[in-house]
Amino acid sequence: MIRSLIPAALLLTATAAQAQQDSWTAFHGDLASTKFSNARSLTPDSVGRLERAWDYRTGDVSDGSGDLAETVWSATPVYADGTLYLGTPFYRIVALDPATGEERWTYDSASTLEPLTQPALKNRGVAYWNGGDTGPCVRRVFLGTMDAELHAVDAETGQRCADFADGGVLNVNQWNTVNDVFPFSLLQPPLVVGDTLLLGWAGADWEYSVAPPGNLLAIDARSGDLLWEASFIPPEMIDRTGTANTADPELGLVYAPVSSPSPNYWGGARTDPIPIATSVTAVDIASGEVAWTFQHVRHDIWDYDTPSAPTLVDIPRDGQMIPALVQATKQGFLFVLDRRTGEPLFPIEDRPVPASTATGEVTAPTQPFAMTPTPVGNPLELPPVWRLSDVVSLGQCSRDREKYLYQGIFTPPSEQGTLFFPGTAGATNWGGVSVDPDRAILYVNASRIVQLIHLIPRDEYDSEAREGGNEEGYHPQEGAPYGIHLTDWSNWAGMPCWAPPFGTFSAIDLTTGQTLYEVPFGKAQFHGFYGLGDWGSPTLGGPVVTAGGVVFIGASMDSRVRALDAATGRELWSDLVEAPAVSIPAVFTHEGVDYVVFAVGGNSILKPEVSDQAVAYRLPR
Amino acid sequence: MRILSVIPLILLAAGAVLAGIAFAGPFGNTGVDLTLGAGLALLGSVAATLLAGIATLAHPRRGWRRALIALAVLAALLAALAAVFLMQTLLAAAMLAGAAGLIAAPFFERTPR
Repeated sequence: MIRSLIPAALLLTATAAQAQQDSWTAFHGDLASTKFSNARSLTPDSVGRLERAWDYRTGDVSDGSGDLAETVWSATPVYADGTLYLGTPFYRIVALDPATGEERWTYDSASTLEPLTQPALKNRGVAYWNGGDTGPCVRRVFLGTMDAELHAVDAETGQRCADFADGGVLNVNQWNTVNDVFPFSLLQPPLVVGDTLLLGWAGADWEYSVAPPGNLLAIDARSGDLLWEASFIPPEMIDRTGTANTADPELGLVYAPVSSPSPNYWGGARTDPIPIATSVTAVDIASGEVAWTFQHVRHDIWDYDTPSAPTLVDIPRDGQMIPALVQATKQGFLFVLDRRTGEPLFPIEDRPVPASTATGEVTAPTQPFAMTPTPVGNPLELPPVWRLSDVVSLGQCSRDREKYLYQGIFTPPSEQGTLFFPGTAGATNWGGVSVDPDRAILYVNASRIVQLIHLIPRDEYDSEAREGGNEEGYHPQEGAPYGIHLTDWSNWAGMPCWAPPFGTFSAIDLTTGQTLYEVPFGKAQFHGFYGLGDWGSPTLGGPVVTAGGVVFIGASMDSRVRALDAATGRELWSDLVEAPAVSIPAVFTHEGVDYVVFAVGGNSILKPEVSDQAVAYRLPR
Repeated sequence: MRILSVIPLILLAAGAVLAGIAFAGPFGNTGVDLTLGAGLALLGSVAATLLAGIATLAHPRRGWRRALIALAVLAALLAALAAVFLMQTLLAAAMLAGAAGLIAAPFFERTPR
């Protein structure tokens, strides 16, 4: 169903209202996922004077050396009605005074601390709902757990809301009725639109051929009742719908970044087109009906699942403001669509891509290439062999380059071994992009990681994988004729075989699609040694841009949080924190003072450091 | 023992302490604590200090002394190089100054008549 057009004036009003916020009430700050803050005191001239306001430890951290699995804490703090809320990877909620970092209350879900679907205990924070009434539980904080429970807690007291589901706890797994090989893990907080909670889930990547069908659940925030369930790929399988969503209440649409089908790296059992897989899909908030869908990878066999919530922004064109949506992708393409219809606003080319030689595989003959805006991280060109790494390895990297298959982006996984670029972590990932809605300028961090993937025939997989297992990059894809071995392309010393930069930061003018700048971002770090400035760093996490013209971002390997000049990408300020700040900061104004708060959790994809630190910055009083 | 001979030793010892702090992080996160790189910097700075200490305080014969000083300078320079890539500026400065002092000290020592 294609929705009718809505007058542009209405849309402008809605977007402007979303952008003029001083709070940070959702994972991406607002429903439009702009990651834009109205904080005006934080300017290129002032941020050099930023100081720590407070430093808080949740206590919920594990490096995996004991009984508990490692923690991966990627929460965005939520600031609403004068309190700061954090979700933790031990599935607790902490309410803090935003000015002092003092605890107001804590809530323990008592969830199992077992990594049921993920290799680590993960959490990306909480959601906030304001019912607009008076009385207990009219303002609620929602927390999901790895074992598929959604907890509703009074935002004032930290007590469970008894009128929500079963005494304040909703068992979401009750709707996991098809291929329930793992629970619906709720690692990403729901998106709150009015009185509706929009909820996706996470599963076990790369392990199974058969998985639950991808779906999006709409839950009543007051009662916990299921309002509707949008099944994206019935009866096929999909491994998650759990990244953040975006909504436009004026259009009545929620925009869901839909994942890839299982198994991720071999599609011989799903050769019929699955149009909603690896797509951004608009769903009617009231009914759950699909309004439109845009598939950005056909027959995905690279796990190029849609990694982040799309960002809504109005773009001037021909004297009109067009309500647009920007979907960042792992491929590095930025798809800019009319969010009313899903029609592209810049040309998209269908280009031929290589065919697979794997048993039973039928690759799509073409894939969509969005060349405007310019793809981020230069994804169409395999980085050259890094001479330093090649010399250290006595030519191993050069020999690898000759030995393994690379025929451009979308080179299929192979038994021979395929150089895979951008790798599975993508050029962009769940951090997505931020947009200054007043200037229609987009900011995005991108990684440049080359991986090596082998398809291993089933009869050989068990004996090979027995030596290593998941930690060595083996994943079974049970039910498929191939398991996989997936690692970064590196030499014997663990040095990357591809030349830097390993990560970049870009600004793009969405009016023209032109890149304003793309600069190396952050510092890589190996065994403690920092890379040179122009090497950059792979990143996980996202940026926030302020009305004052500053970008705040953690995300890099070197455990720094940074402020960049939005106009140039130049670093203005940084601070060393306990681990990589693999998260999106919250930027808000509390009692007239602008704050920037980072959750510092670490992630072993970047380096083996974890933390439970939340740290707040403000200008001196 | 002359004071000019002791100053490089003090600098190298201070560097070793800084390297220990960078490695162990007793006063908080250093960004490199418990890493291989910080361990190598600590090893280099301790080795430089010990070698310089033996050369300065144990009064070995001239040939041995020169060999010990040369090794100490080499260890200090390697530790300084590591410190640069570990972004430990004070450590790098201490090791470079210590190495320079070891090289320069003999030129300022007066031979007794």
